[in-house]
Amino acid sequence: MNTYLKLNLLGNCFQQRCYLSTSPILHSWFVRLTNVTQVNTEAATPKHTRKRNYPLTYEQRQFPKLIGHTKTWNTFNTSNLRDGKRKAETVSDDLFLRQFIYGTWHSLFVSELIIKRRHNMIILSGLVTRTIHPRRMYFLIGYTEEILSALLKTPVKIEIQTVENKEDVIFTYW
Amino acid sequence: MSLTYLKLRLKLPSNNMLVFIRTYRQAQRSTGPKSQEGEFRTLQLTPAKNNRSGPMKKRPKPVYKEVLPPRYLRMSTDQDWTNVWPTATTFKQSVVPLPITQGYVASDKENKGLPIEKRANAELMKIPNFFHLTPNHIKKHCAAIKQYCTPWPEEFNSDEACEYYLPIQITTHDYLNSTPSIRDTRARVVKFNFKLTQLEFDEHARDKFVRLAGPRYNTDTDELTLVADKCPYRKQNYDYAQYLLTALYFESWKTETWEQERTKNDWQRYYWDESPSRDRLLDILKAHEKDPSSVNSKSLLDRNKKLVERYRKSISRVQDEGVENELKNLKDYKNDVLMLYNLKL
Repeated sequence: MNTYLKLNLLGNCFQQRCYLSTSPILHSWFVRLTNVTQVNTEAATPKHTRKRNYPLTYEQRQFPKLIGHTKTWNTFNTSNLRDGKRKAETVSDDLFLRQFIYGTWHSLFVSELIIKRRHNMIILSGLVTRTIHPRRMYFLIGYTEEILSALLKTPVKIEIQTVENKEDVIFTYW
Repeated sequence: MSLTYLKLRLKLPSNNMLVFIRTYRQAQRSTGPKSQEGEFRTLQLTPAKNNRSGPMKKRPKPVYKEVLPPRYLRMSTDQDWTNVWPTATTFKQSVVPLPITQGYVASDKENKGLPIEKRANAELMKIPNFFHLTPNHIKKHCAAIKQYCTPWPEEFNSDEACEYYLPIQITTHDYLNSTPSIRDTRARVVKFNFKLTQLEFDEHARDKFVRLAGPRYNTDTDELTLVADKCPYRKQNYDYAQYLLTALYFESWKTETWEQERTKNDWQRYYWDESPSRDRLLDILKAHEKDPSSVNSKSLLDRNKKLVERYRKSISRVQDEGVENELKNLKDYKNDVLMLYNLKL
């Protein structure tokens, strides 16, 4: 501090950028970082391709900052509410469920997996393409329900809708 | 996978012609000859030049049976919706016969500028729907649970009657969570709520009851609220609250020896009958008697009963009530005092 005073830098600092301020919110010289509305807006936001021909679904087009405005959450439960129970367990279960469905229903889901919890029941839903034989799909439904119920110790139900192919869910080209 | 059937013919010494049919799987892009006649086949380590098939072929798309048209096109318009959608389920575009759209379209480049219809719309699958709670559904539910209901008791025809027959209001909370366990620690709390007029008291017992209850007693509504949440289970808390109420009530009827030592400062409200104001009034009344020694205080008060009662009430109001009616109370008090003195003086 004394050296600053000696070098007469302090006056210049105040005029340009306020290094000595104690409040990082109001007087930070890099305002974008501390302004809460502007942090973490880059995640999951794709860049435009040069030809603007990269297909996006509605889910991908509505960027994370639009959750609650133009799209809703993919997980519905009471743990996220105030005084909710089993917060950590619910999150880890969700991660596991998504990984399981990603592997078991490989390249079949064309939407994000929607996980709804009602009482002790877990309901998985989403859009699936009709690229495999219906018999195999019925097997997958039964297999997934059975093995997930046994693993998570709660009844798991699958309520899916089918679409013809991936082109059906294209919302825009980015 | 394609199955190729290979026929191998073997010539045996006898004249009988035996035909062996051998079936096995063969790779799809097999470079070998499709079928060979004879016992021995040629071994081809490298693919023959003339059989080279060029770049990798795209696997043909499997063709399945044509998908039936959606159910909402096939079902009759006068059907019972409760049978179509009996319970809570995720939205199904093939079943709901409504032209629903959901989603935000920012420009013409998105979805051709059109609102997003129900087909292949994941947003509609996320949100909860009420297709299982139409008026017809509710009617069916009511009809089903009617057998478990009992008629409303005729005695409880008004709020006052309910208050009279059910003096204590017991509040508990049940919590529904989307978890495998139905237990919730918050459900243990039991709240008892009742008005003090429901209990039988004398002056002393009521005073002591209110003192023992402390902040649990609400003076404005004359209500006592007991909250029991110390024990881990609701039943235990309920029992404890019952015990607490019983103990409070019977304890308030006891009079301890040290309770005689209370002074004017300990009064919850103004007791004019024990106050120095009464002595002063008696003195004044007595002074106006022709023969002060012949009268006692009781006869004095009896003689001026109406005025004294008025005076007592107005001075009690001034002492007890807050600032809200202070001006009016003081005015009344002044009038009463003047009346008292005007009559006598």
